[in-house]
Amino acid sequence: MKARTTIIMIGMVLFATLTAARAAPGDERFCGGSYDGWDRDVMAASAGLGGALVSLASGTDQTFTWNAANPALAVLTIEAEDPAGTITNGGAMRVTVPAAWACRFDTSVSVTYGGDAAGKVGAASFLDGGRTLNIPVTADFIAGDTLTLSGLKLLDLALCPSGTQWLELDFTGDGTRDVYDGNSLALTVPWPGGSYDGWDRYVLAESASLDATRRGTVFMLSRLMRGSGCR
Amino acid sequence: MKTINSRWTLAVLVAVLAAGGAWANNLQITNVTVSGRDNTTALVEFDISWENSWRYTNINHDAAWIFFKVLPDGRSDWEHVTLEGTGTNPTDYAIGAGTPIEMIVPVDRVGMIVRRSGEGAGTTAVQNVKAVWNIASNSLSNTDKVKLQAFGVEMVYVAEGAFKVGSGGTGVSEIYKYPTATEPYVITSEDAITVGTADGNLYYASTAYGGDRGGPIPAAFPKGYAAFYCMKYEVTQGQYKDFLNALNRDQQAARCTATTLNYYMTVTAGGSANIPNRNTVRMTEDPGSPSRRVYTTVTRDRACNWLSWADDASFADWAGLRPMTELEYEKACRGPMEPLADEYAFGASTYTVISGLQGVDGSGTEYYTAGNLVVLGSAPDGPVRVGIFATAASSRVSAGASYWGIMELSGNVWERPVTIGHATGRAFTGLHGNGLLTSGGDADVTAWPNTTATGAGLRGGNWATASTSLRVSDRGNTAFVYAVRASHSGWRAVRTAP
Repeated sequence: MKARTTIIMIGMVLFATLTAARAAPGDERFCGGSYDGWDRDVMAASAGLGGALVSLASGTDQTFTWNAANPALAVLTIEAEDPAGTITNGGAMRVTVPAAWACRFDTSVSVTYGGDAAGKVGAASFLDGGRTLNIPVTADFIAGDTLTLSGLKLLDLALCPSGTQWLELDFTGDGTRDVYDGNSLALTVPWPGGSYDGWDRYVLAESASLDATRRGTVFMLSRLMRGSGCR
Repeated sequence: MKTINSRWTLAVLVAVLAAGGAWANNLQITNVTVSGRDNTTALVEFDISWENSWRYTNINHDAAWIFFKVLPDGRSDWEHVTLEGTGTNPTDYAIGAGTPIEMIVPVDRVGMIVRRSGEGAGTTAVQNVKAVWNIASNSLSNTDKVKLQAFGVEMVYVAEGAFKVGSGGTGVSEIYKYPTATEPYVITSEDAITVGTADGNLYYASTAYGGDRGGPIPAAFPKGYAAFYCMKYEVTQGQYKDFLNALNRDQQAARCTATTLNYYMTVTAGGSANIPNRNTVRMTEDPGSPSRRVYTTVTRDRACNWLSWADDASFADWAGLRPMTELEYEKACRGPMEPLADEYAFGASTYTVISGLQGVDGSGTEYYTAGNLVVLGSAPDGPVRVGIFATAASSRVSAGASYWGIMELSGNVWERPVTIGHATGRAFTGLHGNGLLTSGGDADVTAWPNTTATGAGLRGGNWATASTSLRVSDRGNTAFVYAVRASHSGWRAVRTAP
């Protein structure tokens, strides 16, 4: 124990001697002066955690019937609350019909722009057989810029299953969805049909043993299907 | 005329640079931004710089402890930020451009250490440093909006290694190796220490506030053998003001008496109409409940007095730090050096009283032409600017610095370490704060001395006490249960090295 302590103390002395030798003039450990060792900085304004805050909104939920010819869409609003440099001159934004629906935009219509960013985009065009509306960007968007799109219509809703879907927006121009429409599109199918659905079941009246080997019983389960279902 | 003006301008500029630039430590965090990374994390980016930094491989280094608070849109309270990843330069952390640095995120992820990555000294300045924030821990997603604050505290690394406690001098209840009262005790590991009267035991004299001589000191109690980071300076008034402004109204009321508009913090309920003992932290805006009050100070670099133990512990918990122990206090002062009887933190047993104040008191650039200790009889009626003795070419003694480069461990305001002289103190295990306080504004870390201050004590003296109490090994108040706010009570915190 005494030897261990002696070794430790020799080590301490060596360490202190070595380090004392390093404590030459100009040793920053002992330099300093004005102002303390403390600071803070706070962001002046809130920022989005997604890197950019851009939204797409139809303003209202919309419902269509499957056989509607070319129903008009409500005015779409793209709000660049904090574009964070993602919507810039030379780029493009794309509005797309829901991926799960086989419908398309009516390409015969003219899309009209509104909002304070109307002058920052060029003439819209349709891509992908009308499934995508392409909006070329001609000037950088800044925080608070808003662009409205009027005149859009849908076609071929008869190709879509019923249910609820959302339009999609790619504002970074990379070809992938960035945000969904904040409002929904619903499709209903008011086609007349008969009673009963395309489903039935049959249940055994009484419990039966599954020990077929010992009792020598053979049994069958059957299911009847009836009725013609709607799409 | 134009020539004269230009010369004056040049002269003033030179004077400003000489006074402010060359001597400053001046930790600065700027350009804080946040941006998306993925659904559960975000990138926090900032610039950081501080002067007189160093990394001496064979001695130690300084560092900045960085932590963040977030205010999500739609919420009213600042929340602590939990980082993503652990270790040195975790994935997607960026060391930025400038002085080569490394970022170390401890396993609790409440903040990070930023330090030089290589041997060197001088100014550390880095732009576009990036850390990764786990936004999911704040129940946020990448569609949310937030404001963010980045906080930085200058720290000094106290290296792992053996050291001695007790100076062999005349201090009250100094620790010694039994049975020789003048032989310092050597701490060689973090193993439990037996306190008693068998040969080789740690022991100390029984005095009013020197402790109960109970033991053992458990292995979990931080003894200073293991490496830790210590705040380079005592908590300043600017620091405490920023802390208050990040609390909610109820928490503010618990942590500061100044609840009357334009009153200063002190011990009196409501605050003081006049500046009490040089503390200028005051409440200058009250929007009414439930909004938080706004505190300001005009002496941001002056050590903060009028702090209770509960205030200290709350600050440490909020900042992700912890109290130091009284054994760590002696290690922070003396390092591995052989004790000098009755020495002060700057390694000498004599001192020079302060005199010759230069500059505007409270400006952050004021200094004394002589002196290295703020002690009874020489000080103004309160604390002075932290680091006031360090200059561009100061030595350990003239800077009033410890072996490691920690300032004012003797004098100015009290240090409040956890004591070995009380069972509650010995139960301390060195857990760190997690950045979260109770709704009432108190610390709530397991095994910390609670708001009664039982288990904590006082070391290092202050501006209003006799010089003997400022000595490194004097333990005259080490187990004094002192919960109150006083004109000389301040504090600093530490963090176990990751």
